[in-house]
Amino acid sequence: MSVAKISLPKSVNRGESVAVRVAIQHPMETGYRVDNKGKLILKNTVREMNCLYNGALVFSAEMGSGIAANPYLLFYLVAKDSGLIQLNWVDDAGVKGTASALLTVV
Amino acid sequence: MDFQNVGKQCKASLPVLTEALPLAIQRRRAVKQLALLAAGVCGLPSVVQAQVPTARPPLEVVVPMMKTLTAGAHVQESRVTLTIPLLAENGHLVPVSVSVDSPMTGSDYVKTLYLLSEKNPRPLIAKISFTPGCARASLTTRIRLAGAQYVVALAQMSDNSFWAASAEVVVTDTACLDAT
Amino acid sequence: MVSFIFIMFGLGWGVSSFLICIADEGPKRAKRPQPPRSGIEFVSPEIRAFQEDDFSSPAMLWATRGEHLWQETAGPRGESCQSCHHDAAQSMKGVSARYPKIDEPSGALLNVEARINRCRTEKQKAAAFAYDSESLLALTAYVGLQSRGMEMKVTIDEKNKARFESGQRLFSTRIGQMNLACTNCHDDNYGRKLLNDTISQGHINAYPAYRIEWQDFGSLHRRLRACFYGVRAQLPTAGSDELLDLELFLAWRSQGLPVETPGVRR
Repeated sequence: MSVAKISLPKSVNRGESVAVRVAIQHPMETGYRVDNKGKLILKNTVREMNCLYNGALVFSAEMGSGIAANPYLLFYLVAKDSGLIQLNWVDDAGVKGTASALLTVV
Repeated sequence: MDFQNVGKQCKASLPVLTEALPLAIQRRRAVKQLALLAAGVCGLPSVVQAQVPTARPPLEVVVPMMKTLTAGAHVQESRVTLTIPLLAENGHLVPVSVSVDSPMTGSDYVKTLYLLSEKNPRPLIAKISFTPGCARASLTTRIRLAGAQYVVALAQMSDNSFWAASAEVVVTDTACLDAT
Repeated sequence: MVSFIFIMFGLGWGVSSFLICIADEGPKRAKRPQPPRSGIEFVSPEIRAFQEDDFSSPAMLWATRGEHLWQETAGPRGESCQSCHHDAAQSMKGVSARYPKIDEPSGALLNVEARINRCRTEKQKAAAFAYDSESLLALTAYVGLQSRGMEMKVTIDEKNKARFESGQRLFSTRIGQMNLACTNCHDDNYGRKLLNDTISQGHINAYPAYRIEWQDFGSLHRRLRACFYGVRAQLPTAGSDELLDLELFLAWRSQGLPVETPGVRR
């Protein structure tokens, strides 16, 4: 089980910019490394990460072995209504993960 | 650095120019020496020497994948800001920030941002899709770099125009081997 | 007359300092860098920034995992760490700052990892975690986090003196094909460069830590093994007595530095 975290400001004014920070515990295996028996370790990276704001897709990222282990992303959304900001990600092995946080718009 | 010393340096290295070096290198050296001379004349500190930029090849040469992404469209090197350390202590984790100058409205926004590498085994580091729901076309993340190389940020706007920025990063190796 | 007073004073001072020496002989004879400087002072500003901000620190992902594990039950009695130790913020405060420690009944020298495993096998009646397993690292990180900012303060006394001296000996013995002792780099040459790396004083106050070179979170013993590899010496096993002795000496050597666990290092 890996840890995924999302961080938002406590509350924002309508129309303002919201910094969304994401951290996912994932080795982002490149597929170029070998284990201590010389066997190639299969590539397994977080392939895609989507961000939904009250159910609507607002941001997405396709990633590969060029993104460092334990990916960290910071991006900015426009505050519209209070509601749920949800992240969904999937890796090459098909493992899915999610993290969400509530945004309060005043 | 005093002017006379600069003059001597230039004279001493002049014969090199006449040797059969590739034209590009000859040109680079000439430019460097001119810059050194200029620095000497202006009385600038010697640090300037290290900052003489070397000419970068065109972006499509640095990252051939650009041609596929842009389908041959013209790429303007403007509007994109790429912030990355000039010297990365370790290629495993290099912080990078990209922001694109755009109003991010429904009719004028950044659709896609590509982070590209010159020398990684896979040139596409990330493909970011923005929407007008993003307050700004900006991303901060951490990337892997397999050795010293150029990093390119390529942005595709909603009108399908392409804009880009590049940076040259030196990646150093660690001194102590570690196989644990 | 005045000179006589001075002589007497000098004699008195000499005798008393001699007595202090006897009382604290082991640690007094060992040298350590003064003032101690944490490894974080020897890394790049980028790495320092990762450690300073809990959200951007990859190491904190392991501490968060440890927080979940603290409440997870194990063994036939269905007990978790929390069942006995309740709120870690209180019960675990300062623990990592004073370990490794001699376990009273058994006389064994235990570091935090070994203490957690002893709790698992003896109290929870569950299987011990493997040394560098994610679970043991995560719990060690979470326990360490409760002491963050507190001064490293291990006590050297009659009970652990032999172990301390064994660690001290290992620290100053030349080993491996490169014929280097820990002290050759971390006492004699800290602050100087090896390629682009600045040699640190070799303190342990950030471990377990996220190491960029590993692209992973790892134990102090893994870090020590890496140094053994670096000088081309035989690698001691993680959790071995040899490395525990060295850990005790290093904990004493790091005295006064704040605990940075879970830290970020090059």
